[in-house]
Amino acid sequence: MSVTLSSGSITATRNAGDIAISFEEICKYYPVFKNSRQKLAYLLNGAFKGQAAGLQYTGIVKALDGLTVSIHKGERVGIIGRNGAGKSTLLKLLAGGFPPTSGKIIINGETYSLLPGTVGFSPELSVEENASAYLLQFGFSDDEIVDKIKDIEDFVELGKFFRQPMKNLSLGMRVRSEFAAATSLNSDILIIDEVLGAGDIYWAQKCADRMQDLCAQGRTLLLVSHSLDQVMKFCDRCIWIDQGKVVMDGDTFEISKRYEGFLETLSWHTGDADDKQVPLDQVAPDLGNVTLKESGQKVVRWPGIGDLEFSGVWINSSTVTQSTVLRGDTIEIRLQTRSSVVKSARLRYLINFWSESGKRVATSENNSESANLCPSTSHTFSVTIDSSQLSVGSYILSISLFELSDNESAQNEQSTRQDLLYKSFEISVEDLNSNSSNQSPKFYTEFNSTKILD
Amino acid sequence: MAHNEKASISNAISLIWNQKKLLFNTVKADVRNQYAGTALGMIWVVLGPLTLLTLYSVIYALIFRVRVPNYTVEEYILNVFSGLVPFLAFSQALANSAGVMRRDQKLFFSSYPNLFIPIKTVLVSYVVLFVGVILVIIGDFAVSTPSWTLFLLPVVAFFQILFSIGLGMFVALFSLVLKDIEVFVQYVTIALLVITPIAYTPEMIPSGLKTLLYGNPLFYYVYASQHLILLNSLPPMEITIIGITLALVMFLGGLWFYNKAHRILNDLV
Repeated sequence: MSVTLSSGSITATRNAGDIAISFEEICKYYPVFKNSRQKLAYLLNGAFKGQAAGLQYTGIVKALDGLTVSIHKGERVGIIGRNGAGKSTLLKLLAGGFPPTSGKIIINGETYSLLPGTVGFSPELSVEENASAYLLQFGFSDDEIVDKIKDIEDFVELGKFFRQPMKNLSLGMRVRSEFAAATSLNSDILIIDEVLGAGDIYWAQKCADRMQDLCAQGRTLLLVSHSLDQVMKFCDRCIWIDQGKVVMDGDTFEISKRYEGFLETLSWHTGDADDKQVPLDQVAPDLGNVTLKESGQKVVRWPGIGDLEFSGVWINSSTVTQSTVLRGDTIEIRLQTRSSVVKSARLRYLINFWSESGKRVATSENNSESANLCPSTSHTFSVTIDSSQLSVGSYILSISLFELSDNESAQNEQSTRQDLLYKSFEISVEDLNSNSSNQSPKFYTEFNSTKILD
Repeated sequence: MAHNEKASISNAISLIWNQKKLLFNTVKADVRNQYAGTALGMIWVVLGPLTLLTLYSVIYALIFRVRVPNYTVEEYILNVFSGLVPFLAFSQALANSAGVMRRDQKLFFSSYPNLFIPIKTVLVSYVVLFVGVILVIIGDFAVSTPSWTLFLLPVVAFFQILFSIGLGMFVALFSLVLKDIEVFVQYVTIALLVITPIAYTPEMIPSGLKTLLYGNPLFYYVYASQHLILLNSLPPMEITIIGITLALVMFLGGLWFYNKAHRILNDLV
């Protein structure tokens, strides 16, 4: 494998077609140089010979390695992946400036990318001056700039700080200003990288609304983030990349679940989620897919010690993964576990309730249960939850099993995870009276030995 | 954003022409940014060169007591001015071009045409020329006899800028692979100050050292400016021809090399 001179292409077009961005078999390899001489030879050979012959480098980094993706107009797509997965390179290619090593990129429409630091506001100038200079870079007329500055000023709500040097502003205010300036450009394709991290809930929501407005106008959004929360909030579609390839592409919830599971597996095994020495077959879409032996559902299993595993889950005696209850009815969850060894253990079951937007809204756990386990029979545990403590809506359940250490003192009780079925079950709580609106109060009370998270 | 596979010199030039407003605006923003936060602000654009020019004139005219035949002391100072102004712009452009691709990475990875990065860097450095020339013209009216030849100063400036842009592209690209260039240009600048006829006239140079004079590209532009300002005459024909040729060759060469190399630049940034 070698670094050849970029033979790939970027085509910028503007047509009425449905596709906004298309990547075909994109590779981008970066050469690694030992010294300046190699760099110099690379520059000269690259410029004058125009071919790979004579290019010197000591190694290559495959930032993108055969990535194929196509994104439709108006789609909101999240891109997730570990550090070094190729996210930044992907964005840089989209921003323009250089072609890929091989493959074909088609960008249909005007792109704007808000990479960290690309807005490059000067700390000495005010937001107003910065925004004006920034808009000038994009060739807007004076009238357009006046309008846009007004829009930015309204959005950022900075008051007198709008006309003060930006060094006097908090980080959140600066990020907000850059976001407002960037989104005022009205480009067809908006690429955003990790910028919404700084800011409180109010701003996160305001930024989200602004992005939603842009998307509603048919703009395409590409959001690159480590934060699955953000991706789940904004994007219907998600692309998980690793080692320069697409691992999975599809529904955000499904992919975030796998991606979290993958990170969990990595940290379970290596203690370092950024360790790149993971064979690609471990970065697989079907990672953790299992079928429960006794109840038969297809679930996603996260790693645990594993000599004790769930073998069956029944929710209100049913073995489907999606169930519906009326608010006020009880939810009975029956869990069956099977041990591969004969032992007696103290077990704790933990059930997490996730909202559809990826927020953990409630947890339920028992104190502990002593059980004598053996491989030939399964052990059953049941928990009953009063659904009136949940508001109307859909919940996704993760169910974990911990084995507690023999140490009886409650203070330093050690627990070891034996098994975890991650976001594998869904329960919809419906209201008998109002079938359309979800007017029920959004609060959660404590039930049993249950912690309620905000 | 338009990324032409077979980017040729001609469409690089048309890009510059078509997007001249964008280029102008970035230069404007950069200049403003340079002095943002200072108490005097844009006054520095005038005050900076004025201070330097005054300092140099005092040293040469009052301390070294250099006297040039046919020039009054005031005219000698004006002669120093008219040489120093192009020199300052040239050396700033050279220094700023070194390492600019690394410093302006954020623009490199954006929709801003990356060809403009070295160009705007040179143009920002040449703001001093614009200010300096106005000072010199005022001086010409005050202490010497102005003539119509002053109208040709923009032409000289134009070719000097072309030369600087071309050179700037080479410097910008090569300093990317050879950081030593950033250090080296500092010494080149000092050497240029010495070998360019600023404090002395070309006639004062011994004939054995004339090579040093003609080998210095800056000499042609400085010499031409001094003719137009002080001697009230056109520069000699060979000086004009060499100056224009150098400018065109360097500018086109720079564009050509940039076009050749820009595909692999991202591997080096």
